[in-house]
Amino acid sequence: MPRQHTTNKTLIRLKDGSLRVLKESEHAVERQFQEVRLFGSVAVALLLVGFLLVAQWRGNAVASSVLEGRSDADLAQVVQELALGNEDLRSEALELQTRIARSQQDVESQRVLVQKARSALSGMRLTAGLEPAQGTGVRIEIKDPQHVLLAQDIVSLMQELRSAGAEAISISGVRVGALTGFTDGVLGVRTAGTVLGHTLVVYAIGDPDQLEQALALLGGIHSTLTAYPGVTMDTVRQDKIQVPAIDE
Amino acid sequence: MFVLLLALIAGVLIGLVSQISIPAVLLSYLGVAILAALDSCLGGVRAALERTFSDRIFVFGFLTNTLMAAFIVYIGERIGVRELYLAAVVAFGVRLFNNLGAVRRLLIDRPGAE
Repeated sequence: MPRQHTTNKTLIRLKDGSLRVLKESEHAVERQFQEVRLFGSVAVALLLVGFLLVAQWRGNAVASSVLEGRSDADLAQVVQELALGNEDLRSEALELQTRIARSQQDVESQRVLVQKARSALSGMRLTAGLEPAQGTGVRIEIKDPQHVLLAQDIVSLMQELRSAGAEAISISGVRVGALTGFTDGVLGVRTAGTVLGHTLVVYAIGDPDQLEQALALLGGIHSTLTAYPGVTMDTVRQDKIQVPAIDE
Repeated sequence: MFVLLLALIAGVLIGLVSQISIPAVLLSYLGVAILAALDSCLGGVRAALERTFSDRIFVFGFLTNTLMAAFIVYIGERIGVRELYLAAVVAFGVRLFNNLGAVRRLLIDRPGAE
Protein backbone atom coordinates (compact mmCIF):
# COMPACT_ATOMS: atom_id res chain seq x y z
CA MET A 1 0.00 0.00 0.00
CA PRO A 2 1.49 3.33 -0.94
CA ARG A 3 2.09 5.65 1.96
CA GLN A 4 2.73 9.33 2.38
CA HIS A 5 4.72 10.62 5.30
CA THR A 6 3.94 14.02 6.73
CA THR A 7 5.51 15.57 9.79
CA ASN A 8 3.57 13.66 12.47
CA LYS A 9 0.89 11.70 10.66
CA THR A 10 0.98 9.08 7.96
CA LEU A 11 -1.65 9.11 5.25
CA ILE A 12 -2.67 5.87 3.66
CA ARG A 13 -4.24 5.50 0.23
CA LEU A 14 -7.09 3.04 0.28
CA LYS A 15 -8.18 0.80 -2.60
CA ASP A 16 -10.98 3.13 -3.62
CA GLY A 17 -8.47 5.98 -4.00
CA SER A 18 -9.43 7.97 -0.90
CA LEU A 19 -6.86 8.96 1.72
CA ARG A 20 -7.14 8.58 5.44
CA VAL A 21 -4.90 9.22 8.41
CA LEU A 22 -3.44 6.22 10.17
CA LYS A 23 -4.53 5.68 13.70
CA GLU A 24 -1.87 5.88 16.43
CA SER A 25 -1.73 2.10 16.95
CA GLU A 26 -1.56 1.51 13.21
CA HIS A 27 1.18 4.11 13.07
CA ALA A 28 3.25 2.35 15.69
CA VAL A 29 2.91 -1.00 13.91
CA GLU A 30 3.79 0.64 10.65
CA ARG A 31 6.95 2.21 12.09
CA GLN A 32 8.01 -1.04 13.72
CA PHE A 33 7.40 -2.89 10.48
CA GLN A 34 9.50 -0.39 8.58
CA GLU A 35 12.32 -0.62 11.09
CA VAL A 36 12.38 -4.38 10.74
CA ARG A 37 12.55 -4.04 6.99
CA LEU A 38 15.32 -1.48 7.30
CA PHE A 39 17.48 -3.51 9.59
CA GLY A 40 16.58 -6.72 7.81
CA SER A 41 17.71 -5.58 4.40
CA VAL A 42 20.87 -3.85 5.63
CA ALA A 43 21.68 -6.85 7.83
CA VAL A 44 21.30 -9.23 4.90
CA ALA A 45 23.50 -6.98 2.81
CA LEU A 46 26.14 -6.83 5.55
CA LEU A 47 25.94 -10.60 5.94
CA LEU A 48 26.71 -10.92 2.27
CA VAL A 49 29.51 -8.36 2.52
CA GLY A 50 31.09 -10.20 5.43
CA PHE A 51 30.91 -13.50 3.63
CA LEU A 52 32.37 -12.08 0.42
CA LEU A 53 35.06 -10.29 2.41
CA VAL A 54 36.30 -13.57 3.89
CA ALA A 55 36.06 -15.36 0.56
CA GLN A 56 38.00 -12.58 -1.11
CA TRP A 57 40.56 -12.55 1.67
CA ARG A 58 41.15 -16.26 1.32
CA GLY A 59 41.21 -16.12 -2.47
CA ASN A 60 43.77 -13.34 -2.33
CA ALA A 61 45.95 -15.30 0.08
CA VAL A 62 45.81 -18.32 -2.23
CA ALA A 63 46.41 -16.22 -5.33
CA SER A 64 49.43 -14.42 -3.90
CA SER A 65 50.97 -17.79 -3.08
CA VAL A 66 50.68 -18.92 -6.70
CA LEU A 67 52.18 -17.00 -9.58
CA GLU A 68 48.93 -16.89 -11.57
CA GLY A 69 47.30 -14.26 -9.40
CA ARG A 70 50.22 -11.87 -9.22
CA SER A 71 50.52 -8.60 -11.03
CA ASP A 72 53.05 -7.95 -13.78
CA ALA A 73 55.24 -5.89 -11.49
CA ASP A 74 55.24 -8.68 -8.90
CA LEU A 75 56.10 -11.24 -11.54
CA ALA A 76 58.91 -9.06 -12.83
CA GLN A 77 60.27 -8.88 -9.30
CA VAL A 78 59.93 -12.62 -8.87
CA VAL A 79 61.79 -13.17 -12.13
CA GLN A 80 64.48 -10.72 -11.03
CA GLU A 81 64.86 -12.45 -7.68
CA LEU A 82 65.08 -15.81 -9.38
CA ALA A 83 67.68 -14.49 -11.82
CA LEU A 84 69.67 -13.09 -8.93
CA GLY A 85 69.44 -16.39 -7.05
CA ASN A 86 70.43 -18.21 -10.21
CA GLU A 87 73.46 -15.99 -10.60
CA ASP A 88 74.46 -16.64 -7.02
CA LEU A 89 74.10 -20.37 -7.44
CA ARG A 90 76.04 -20.30 -10.68
CA SER A 91 78.95 -18.43 -9.13
CA GLU A 92 78.87 -20.79 -6.17
CA ALA A 93 78.97 -23.77 -8.53
CA LEU A 94 81.90 -22.19 -10.35
CA GLU A 95 83.73 -21.63 -7.10
CA LEU A 96 83.15 -25.22 -6.03
CA GLN A 97 84.32 -26.50 -9.39
CA THR A 98 87.44 -24.41 -9.05
CA ARG A 99 88.02 -25.90 -5.63
CA ILE A 100 87.53 -29.42 -6.96
CA ALA A 101 89.96 -28.72 -9.78
CA ARG A 102 92.47 -27.22 -7.36
CA SER A 103 92.30 -30.15 -4.96
CA GLN A 104 92.58 -32.56 -7.87
CA GLN A 105 95.63 -30.64 -8.95
CA ASP A 106 96.99 -30.86 -5.43
CA VAL A 107 96.43 -34.60 -5.38
CA GLU A 108 98.05 -34.86 -8.78
CA SER A 109 101.07 -32.81 -7.78
CA GLN A 110 101.38 -34.79 -4.57
CA ARG A 111 101.28 -37.98 -6.56
CA VAL A 112 103.96 -36.59 -8.88
CA LEU A 113 106.04 -35.59 -5.86
CA VAL A 114 105.69 -39.04 -4.33
CA GLN A 115 106.57 -40.63 -7.65
CA LYS A 116 109.62 -38.40 -8.00
CA ALA A 117 110.69 -39.11 -4.46
CA ARG A 118 110.21 -42.81 -5.03
CA SER A 119 112.23 -42.81 -8.24
CA ALA A 120 114.90 -40.68 -6.58
CA LEU A 121 115.00 -43.16 -3.71
CA SER A 122 115.31 -46.13 -6.02
CA GLY A 123 117.99 -44.26 -7.97
CA MET A 124 119.86 -43.63 -4.76
CA ARG A 125 119.48 -47.24 -3.70
CA LEU A 126 120.81 -48.26 -7.09
CA THR A 127 123.76 -45.89 -6.81
CA ALA A 128 124.40 -47.00 -3.26
CA GLY A 129 124.32 -50.57 -4.54
CA LEU A 130 121.71 -51.74 -2.08
CA GLU A 131 119.72 -53.53 -4.77
CA PRO A 132 120.72 -55.77 -7.62
CA ALA A 133 120.31 -54.05 -10.95
CA GLN A 134 119.74 -55.12 -14.49
CA GLY A 135 119.60 -53.34 -17.84
CA THR A 136 121.55 -52.29 -20.90
CA GLY A 137 125.11 -51.10 -20.59
CA VAL A 138 128.69 -51.98 -21.40
CA ARG A 139 131.10 -54.73 -20.49
CA ILE A 140 134.68 -53.58 -20.12
CA GLU A 141 137.50 -56.09 -20.00
CA ILE A 142 140.85 -54.79 -18.84
CA LYS A 143 143.92 -56.99 -19.04
CA ASP A 144 146.88 -56.02 -16.86
CA PRO A 145 149.45 -58.81 -17.04
CA GLN A 146 152.17 -56.77 -15.36
CA HIS A 147 150.17 -55.39 -12.45
CA VAL A 148 150.81 -51.81 -13.32
CA LEU A 149 147.35 -50.49 -12.55
CA LEU A 150 146.91 -48.82 -9.19
CA ALA A 151 143.82 -48.35 -7.08
CA GLN A 152 143.52 -44.74 -8.16
CA ASP A 153 143.33 -45.84 -11.82
CA ILE A 154 140.39 -48.06 -10.98
CA VAL A 155 138.81 -45.19 -9.00
CA SER A 156 139.23 -42.89 -11.99
CA LEU A 157 137.54 -45.48 -14.18
CA MET A 158 134.66 -45.72 -11.73
CA GLN A 159 134.31 -41.93 -11.58
CA GLU A 160 134.40 -41.70 -15.34
CA LEU A 161 131.64 -44.29 -15.63
CA ARG A 162 129.54 -42.57 -12.95
CA SER A 163 129.84 -39.18 -14.52
CA ALA A 164 128.82 -40.76 -17.83
CA GLY A 165 125.58 -41.79 -16.15
CA ALA A 166 126.29 -45.35 -15.05
CA GLU A 167 123.63 -46.35 -12.56
CA ALA A 168 125.23 -49.51 -11.26
CA ILE A 169 128.75 -50.84 -11.64
CA SER A 170 130.36 -54.12 -10.74
CA ILE A 171 133.97 -55.06 -10.98
CA SER A 172 134.97 -58.75 -11.13
CA GLY A 173 131.61 -59.72 -9.68
CA VAL A 174 131.77 -57.19 -6.85
CA ARG A 175 129.21 -54.40 -6.75
CA VAL A 176 130.72 -50.96 -6.55
CA GLY A 177 128.72 -48.75 -4.22
CA ALA A 178 129.14 -45.25 -2.91
CA LEU A 179 131.43 -46.40 -0.14
CA THR A 180 133.38 -49.05 -2.01
CA GLY A 181 137.08 -48.46 -1.72
CA PHE A 182 140.07 -49.76 -3.64
CA THR A 183 143.46 -50.48 -2.16
CA ASP A 184 146.79 -51.43 -3.67
CA GLY A 185 148.13 -54.83 -2.71
CA VAL A 186 151.05 -57.08 -3.61
CA LEU A 187 148.91 -59.19 -5.91
CA GLY A 188 147.12 -56.22 -7.42
CA VAL A 189 144.26 -53.93 -6.56
CA ARG A 190 141.89 -55.20 -3.86
CA THR A 191 138.37 -54.26 -3.14
CA ALA A 192 136.01 -55.54 -0.48
CA GLY A 193 138.42 -58.32 0.36
CA THR A 194 138.74 -59.48 -3.24
CA VAL A 195 141.93 -59.30 -5.24
CA LEU A 196 141.03 -58.16 -8.72
CA GLY A 197 143.85 -60.02 -10.46
CA HIS A 198 145.21 -59.70 -13.97
CA THR A 199 141.93 -59.53 -15.75
CA LEU A 200 139.29 -57.07 -14.61
CA VAL A 201 135.76 -57.38 -15.92
CA VAL A 202 133.67 -54.28 -15.30
CA TYR A 203 129.95 -54.17 -15.94
CA ALA A 204 128.28 -50.79 -16.03
CA ILE A 205 124.54 -50.28 -16.44
CA GLY A 206 123.54 -47.07 -18.20
CA ASP A 207 123.13 -45.53 -21.62
CA PRO A 208 125.67 -47.60 -23.70
CA ASP A 209 126.28 -44.72 -26.15
CA GLN A 210 127.15 -42.26 -23.43
CA LEU A 211 129.28 -44.77 -21.55
CA GLU A 212 131.24 -45.75 -24.66
CA GLN A 213 131.73 -42.14 -25.65
CA ALA A 214 132.93 -41.18 -22.19
CA LEU A 215 135.47 -44.00 -22.13
CA ALA A 216 136.74 -43.48 -25.68
CA LEU A 217 137.13 -39.72 -25.28
CA LEU A 218 140.44 -38.37 -26.58
CA GLY A 219 142.70 -38.06 -23.53
CA GLY A 220 140.06 -39.94 -21.52
CA ILE A 221 140.32 -42.98 -19.31
CA HIS A 222 140.78 -45.40 -22.22
CA SER A 223 143.87 -43.65 -23.53
CA THR A 224 145.17 -43.12 -19.99
CA LEU A 225 144.92 -46.81 -19.03
CA THR A 226 146.10 -48.25 -22.32
CA ALA A 227 149.12 -45.95 -22.10
CA TYR A 228 150.44 -48.19 -19.32
CA PRO A 229 152.63 -51.02 -20.57
CA GLY A 230 150.76 -54.24 -21.41
CA VAL A 231 147.35 -52.90 -20.46
CA THR A 232 144.50 -53.51 -22.90
CA MET A 233 140.92 -52.41 -22.58
CA ASP A 234 137.96 -53.73 -24.58
CA THR A 235 134.55 -52.17 -24.37
CA VAL A 236 131.51 -54.13 -25.58
CA ARG A 237 127.87 -53.03 -25.49
CA GLN A 238 125.50 -55.49 -23.94
CA ASP A 239 121.75 -55.52 -23.92
CA LYS A 240 121.31 -57.38 -20.72
CA ILE A 241 123.63 -56.88 -17.82
CA GLN A 242 123.04 -58.07 -14.30
CA VAL A 243 124.81 -56.49 -11.37
CA PRO A 244 124.59 -57.99 -7.87
CA ALA A 245 123.85 -56.06 -4.72
CA ILE A 246 126.56 -55.19 -2.25
CA ASP A 247 127.35 -57.94 0.21
CA GLU A 248 126.50 -56.52 3.60
CA MET B 1 22.70 -1.04 15.25
CA PHE B 2 23.93 -4.12 17.07
CA VAL B 3 21.90 -6.25 14.71
CA LEU B 4 23.95 -4.90 11.79
CA LEU B 5 27.26 -5.60 13.50
CA LEU B 6 26.06 -9.09 14.36
CA ALA B 7 25.03 -9.62 10.74
CA LEU B 8 28.51 -8.62 9.56
CA ILE B 9 30.16 -10.94 12.10
CA ALA B 10 27.80 -13.75 11.13
CA GLY B 11 28.72 -13.25 7.48
CA VAL B 12 32.43 -13.44 8.35
CA LEU B 13 31.82 -16.60 10.37
CA ILE B 14 29.85 -18.23 7.57
CA GLY B 15 32.71 -17.37 5.21
CA LEU B 16 35.24 -18.88 7.60
CA VAL B 17 33.21 -22.04 8.12
CA SER B 18 32.32 -22.59 4.47
CA GLN B 19 36.00 -22.52 3.39
CA ILE B 20 35.04 -20.87 0.13
CA SER B 21 37.83 -19.18 -1.75
CA ILE B 22 37.42 -16.93 -4.77
CA PRO B 23 39.25 -18.05 -7.93
CA ALA B 24 42.15 -15.82 -8.90
CA VAL B 25 40.51 -14.51 -12.08
CA LEU B 26 37.53 -13.10 -10.17
CA LEU B 27 39.52 -11.45 -7.40
CA SER B 28 39.81 -8.01 -8.97
CA TYR B 29 36.07 -7.91 -9.78
CA LEU B 30 34.94 -8.99 -6.38
CA GLY B 31 37.30 -6.63 -4.60
CA VAL B 32 35.69 -3.56 -6.14
CA ALA B 33 32.24 -5.13 -5.76
CA ILE B 34 32.80 -5.57 -2.03
CA LEU B 35 33.81 -1.94 -1.76
CA ALA B 36 30.60 -0.94 -3.54
CA ALA B 37 28.53 -3.19 -1.30
CA LEU B 38 30.11 -1.73 1.80
CA ASP B 39 29.37 1.75 0.50
CA SER B 40 25.76 0.79 -0.12
CA CYS B 41 25.39 -0.56 3.39
CA LEU B 42 26.75 2.62 4.91
CA GLY B 43 24.49 4.59 2.62
CA GLY B 44 21.57 2.53 3.91
CA VAL B 45 22.46 3.23 7.51
CA ARG B 46 22.83 6.90 6.73
CA ALA B 47 19.45 6.96 5.03
CA ALA B 48 17.93 5.18 8.01
CA LEU B 49 19.34 7.76 10.38
CA GLU B 50 18.10 10.56 8.12
CA ARG B 51 14.74 8.79 8.01
CA THR B 52 14.77 8.67 4.22
CA PHE B 53 15.42 4.92 4.02
CA SER B 54 13.55 2.93 1.45
CA ASP B 55 14.18 -0.79 1.29
CA ARG B 56 13.47 -0.89 -2.40
CA ILE B 57 16.00 1.81 -3.16
CA PHE B 58 18.49 0.14 -0.85
CA VAL B 59 18.23 -3.32 -2.42
CA PHE B 60 18.25 -1.91 -5.91
CA GLY B 61 21.20 0.38 -5.12
CA PHE B 62 23.08 -2.43 -3.47
CA LEU B 63 22.72 -4.73 -6.47
CA THR B 64 23.40 -2.12 -9.17
CA ASN B 65 26.40 -0.70 -7.32
CA THR B 66 28.11 -4.06 -6.87
CA LEU B 67 27.33 -5.25 -10.38
CA MET B 68 28.34 -1.95 -11.92
CA ALA B 69 31.61 -1.93 -10.01
CA ALA B 70 32.49 -5.43 -11.22
CA PHE B 71 31.36 -4.48 -14.71
CA ILE B 72 33.64 -1.41 -14.78
CA VAL B 73 36.62 -3.58 -13.87
CA TYR B 74 35.63 -6.05 -16.57
CA ILE B 75 35.27 -3.32 -19.18
CA GLY B 76 38.61 -1.82 -18.18
CA GLU B 77 40.28 -5.15 -18.64
CA ARG B 78 38.59 -5.77 -22.00
CA ILE B 79 39.48 -2.41 -23.52
CA GLY B 80 43.02 -2.45 -22.21
CA VAL B 81 42.56 0.22 -19.56
CA ARG B 82 43.18 -1.91 -16.53
CA GLU B 83 43.49 1.20 -14.40
CA LEU B 84 39.80 1.84 -14.88
CA TYR B 85 39.17 -0.12 -11.71
CA LEU B 86 40.93 2.75 -9.94
CA ALA B 87 38.05 5.00 -10.97
CA ALA B 88 35.59 2.69 -9.25
CA VAL B 89 37.82 2.31 -6.20
CA VAL B 90 38.25 6.05 -5.86
CA ALA B 91 34.56 6.80 -6.44
CA PHE B 92 33.33 4.20 -3.97
CA GLY B 93 36.08 5.02 -1.51
CA VAL B 94 35.15 8.69 -1.45
CA ARG B 95 31.45 7.84 -1.14
CA LEU B 96 32.21 5.38 1.62
CA PHE B 97 34.00 7.97 3.67
CA ASN B 98 31.31 10.54 2.94
CA ASN B 99 28.66 8.16 4.18
CA LEU B 100 30.76 7.24 7.17
CA GLY B 101 31.20 10.89 8.03
CA ALA B 102 27.46 11.53 7.66
CA VAL B 103 26.59 8.54 9.85
CA ARG B 104 29.04 9.70 12.48
CA ARG B 105 27.64 13.21 12.41
CA LEU B 106 24.09 11.95 12.68
CA LEU B 107 24.92 9.68 15.59
CA ILE B 108 26.85 12.35 17.49
CA ASP B 109 24.38 15.15 16.75
CA ARG B 110 21.50 13.10 18.03
CA PRO B 111 22.76 10.85 20.77
CA GLY B 112 20.38 8.01 21.50
CA ALA B 113 18.61 8.53 18.21
CA GLU B 114 19.01 4.91 17.24
